Amino acid sequence: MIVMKDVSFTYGSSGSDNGLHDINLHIKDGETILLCGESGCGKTTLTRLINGLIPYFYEGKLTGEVFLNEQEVKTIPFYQIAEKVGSVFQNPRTQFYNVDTTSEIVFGCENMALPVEEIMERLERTTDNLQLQGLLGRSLFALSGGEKQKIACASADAIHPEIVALDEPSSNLDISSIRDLTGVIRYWKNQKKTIVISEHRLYYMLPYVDRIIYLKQGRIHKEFTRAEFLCLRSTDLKELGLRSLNPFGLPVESEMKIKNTQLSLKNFSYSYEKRGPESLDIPELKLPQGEVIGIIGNNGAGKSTFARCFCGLDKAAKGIIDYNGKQYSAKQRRHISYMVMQDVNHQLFTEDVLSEILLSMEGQDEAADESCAKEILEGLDLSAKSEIHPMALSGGEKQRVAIGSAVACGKEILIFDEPTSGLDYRHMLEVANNLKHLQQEGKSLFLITHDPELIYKCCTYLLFLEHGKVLWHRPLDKKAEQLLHDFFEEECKAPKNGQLVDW
Amino acid sequence: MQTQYDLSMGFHLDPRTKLLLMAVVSTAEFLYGHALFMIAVAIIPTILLISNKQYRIGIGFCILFLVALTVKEKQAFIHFNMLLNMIVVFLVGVVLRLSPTFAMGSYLIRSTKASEFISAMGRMHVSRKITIPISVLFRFLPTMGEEARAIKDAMRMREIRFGTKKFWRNPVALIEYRFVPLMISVVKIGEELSAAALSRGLDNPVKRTNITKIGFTGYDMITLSVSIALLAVTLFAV
Repeated sequence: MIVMKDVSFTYGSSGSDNGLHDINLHIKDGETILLCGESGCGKTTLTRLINGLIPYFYEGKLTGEVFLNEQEVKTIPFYQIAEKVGSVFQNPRTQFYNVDTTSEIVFGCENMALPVEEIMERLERTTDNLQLQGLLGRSLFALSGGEKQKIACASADAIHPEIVALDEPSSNLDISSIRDLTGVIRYWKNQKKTIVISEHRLYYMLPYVDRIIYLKQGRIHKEFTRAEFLCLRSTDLKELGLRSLNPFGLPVESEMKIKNTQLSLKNFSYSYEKRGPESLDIPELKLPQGEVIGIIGNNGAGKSTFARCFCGLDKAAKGIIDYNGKQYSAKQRRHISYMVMQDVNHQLFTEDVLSEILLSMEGQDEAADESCAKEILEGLDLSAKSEIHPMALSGGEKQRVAIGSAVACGKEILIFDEPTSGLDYRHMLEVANNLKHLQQEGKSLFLITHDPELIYKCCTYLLFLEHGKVLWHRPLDKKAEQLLHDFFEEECKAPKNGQLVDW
Repeated sequence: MQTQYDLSMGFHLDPRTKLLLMAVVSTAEFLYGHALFMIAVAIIPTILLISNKQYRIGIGFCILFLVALTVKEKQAFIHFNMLLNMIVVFLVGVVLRLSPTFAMGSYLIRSTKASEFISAMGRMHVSRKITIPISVLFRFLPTMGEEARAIKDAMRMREIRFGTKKFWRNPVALIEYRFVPLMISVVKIGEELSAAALSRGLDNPVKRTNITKIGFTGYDMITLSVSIALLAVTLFAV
């Protein structure tokens, strides 16, 4: 049982925007609670109050009382909370402490100093229940994001907690990994654990939640039962800034421009010597120019290899791209293409937004450059921010700065790698608008994404990859819509690798 | 289950043995003796690296070391001009003195599990205040590598590199561009990592258990005695 009485929290360091105010909450044993709301509404902070990271790890001003099973959190040492509450976090890459999977699963148990026999027994139970047989004893660095998240769940499960707190666990996952995560949550629910989960993607959690708590600006704004929540219309959801409850059957919103220019790819191939299956083999492919081309396919189908090859990032990349009548080899492609990475932080180097754009320019004539840079910023609605440090911007704004820097380089082809992972509705919309804007400017865009809402919002053409080969590619018309729908359906339902991931 | 996990445990050494060997190897290089002695020193990390399936590093190290040693031996007979000679002597010195330590370090990091390391240090009564930050390194170094690679890619796409006009105007900026994003992400990763570790009870004061059995085995005895014998023989008999 979790009880919060008049809880307020403000972070010590960075402003007060993500804090909480006057939270009163009573969570019964065995209840499943979904926390939702726009980015910065305080849902992550609320999970931190439950797993003890507040007040023990994140500093700030905490007033009011939080009780776990009638004991006040402040009076329980952190490591005892860790025995009661299992945590799963947003980023699969930064939540494991060990290098190999087995050590990570038993890590919590080892810290509790359980006898080795007991740990081995728990390891076996967790492995069976979460279907992890193939993942034991492997290097965590060699796993996919979805697999890492599974290990994180397993590590939380092995502690045998009464409560599980999950903080946006699906943010970095593809559709089939989300399906696996759903399985884990169903298992925990069957075990009568109390589950508190904060999420942007609502569709996968809905069948399991008992109550939905909608937060706004750090306050509990509304509370719904599942039945009430399901009655909400899509316009209501948009007003609340929430993602669609059924993202797989949305209407297509963009239309292809009828233009005859094409870019063509020849002998596109790449094979990893060591890493095995993911390779690329495209003898010939013609794609329209000036469209938003969605690249879809399963995990490991070669989507990111395709993108890296396209940008000439890998030395071993082969093949030629014919663009506007010019031939580009892998190395030359770097001049015309640019990839906006999933983690945009890697792509911003300077102290303010304007110099970030200027950095991409030749630097022959500084005055001309500066006026040109200002024009680019104007076009991206960033003029007001030109003096600000890029790291102080929001995620969507950072992305626009990265786009601006690419435009300033004179890049014609832009590739986006999962631009909306972990974004709420409003920010997803912002990204979609960025993409549409670039398309109007005449750029050719490629979009690798697992986000169905984004695909329906702005893609005009689809390219489907499987095992490094092009299975089909066509404008996003009725036929493609059907194929896309079938793909999503299969991803949501079919067990991966013939494994039965159903409890 | 137990057996399944132990499959990966053919040849393995206690973390303490590895640390001792590392100390021995790095001091031995500074004795800087006879060529045979130096080869004997270099054999230890080579074999260990290969036993840990780090073939590329193992063989690379071996070749590099032998080349440097040959140059050192032949150097007296070749007359370079002075500057070149200085560079050669310097490079050879660096390779001979430092590369075995790096090779051992690479083996130590790759072959040791973080929790195994914490337990082994616990047996030596080293305070957890020291072992926990060190154990994070096992996890952190590869992550930093991943981050650095992503930043390198980003820079290549922006065509920020050596030799451009921009570069000559402010060469130091290149270093800044590489390190600032790295620092930012490292700080962030470090924070998230600590939060995750603590939420699994890492600060629990009880003596933690460990499913990987640590403790000295026959392998440790064999490795230690072979290494010591090897060094002793070459040092005294030659």
